[in-house]
Amino acid sequence: MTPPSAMKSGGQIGSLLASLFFICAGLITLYDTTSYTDRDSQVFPQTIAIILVVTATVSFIARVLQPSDEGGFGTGIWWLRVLLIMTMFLMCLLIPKIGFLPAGVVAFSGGLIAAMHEGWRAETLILYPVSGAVVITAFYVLFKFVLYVPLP
Amino acid sequence: MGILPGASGSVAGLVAYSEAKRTAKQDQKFGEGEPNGIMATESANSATVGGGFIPTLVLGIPGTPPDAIVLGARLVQGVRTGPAMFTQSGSIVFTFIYGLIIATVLMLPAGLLIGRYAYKSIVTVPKAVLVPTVGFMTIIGTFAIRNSVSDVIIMLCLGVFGWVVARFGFAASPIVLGLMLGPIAEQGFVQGWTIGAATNNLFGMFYGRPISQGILLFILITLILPPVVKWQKSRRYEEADQ
Repeated sequence: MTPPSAMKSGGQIGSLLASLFFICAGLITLYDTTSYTDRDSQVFPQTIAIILVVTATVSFIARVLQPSDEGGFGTGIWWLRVLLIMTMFLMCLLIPKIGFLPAGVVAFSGGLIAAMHEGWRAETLILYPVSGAVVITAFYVLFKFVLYVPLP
Repeated sequence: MGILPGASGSVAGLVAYSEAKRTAKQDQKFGEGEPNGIMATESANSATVGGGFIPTLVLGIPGTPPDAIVLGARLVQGVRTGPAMFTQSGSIVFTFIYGLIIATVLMLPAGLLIGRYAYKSIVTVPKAVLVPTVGFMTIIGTFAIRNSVSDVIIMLCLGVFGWVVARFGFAASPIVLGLMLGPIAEQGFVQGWTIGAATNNLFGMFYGRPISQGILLFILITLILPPVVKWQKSRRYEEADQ
């Protein structure tokens, strides 16, 4: 039995939702342009918003008429994907507080755990964190001391 | 793509990949190591170098980040860019042209030799190390542009958004192109609209010229051709099945 976290998500409903999102984005833009005082500045956003609504509607109708489960989120494990993104966001929050290098270690560790599908062995437990430390330090030195980027 | 200031090899690579994927044969599996996908992105990346020199040499606007370094080097040497450079300092311009020709020709042996060893070693790096490395590089690269954490947060949000919509059939490259070309398109559109409205010839302003008609024709072909080809293919398969 497929574990719930690794179930294949259907592409049909997601595609319809994505099309609806673009339709709504276009309609909101159209509504927003009514508050512009200058007529000339309304023209371009209105044109683009109308094109967006029309093309997204065509995509929606095409998907309704020809249902297909093509696409979707695939068979990845959700908590690992979320972990990868969350650690990257966490790094952003930590950069001003603890500095770029320690925040980078946090993000790299999270990414390492998220991307490790094979199971940990004694050698990978040593080799991968060491590789990570080398990569982070090398990029930090390159950007801070060679390219003079003021990393915190 | 190269001649558009700011739209560098990465954007060209995205567009080329999307086009290669769109026009791929049914047995080609993009996203799973399809060689045509790699060829499309890499050739587009290389092609932007020559194009990037057009705004750099003619207008003094760097087309790609390396062009900015070239432009800076020329300014340090006291060489002024612009149309006058083509008439007054032809030797410099032709040095660039010949240099690009030699570089383009050398790409093949360099790619064959380096590709065999360097790219192979990158492919053999375990995914568990490669994924956080790429993630870290995107963060440090984004941060380095304006030293802003907000930029990194925006990059991550747009990255997640792009990944989600790409999973449901919406390619990221048109969105990126829209962001890059939006201001240029808006300026041209509003200018055309204003002149057309003032001269009472709005239709003629947008559709009356041979160049705009030609562009519209190409847009229509691009829109109509893929579904027609797809329909013909499915019809052929149906006939073969019968």
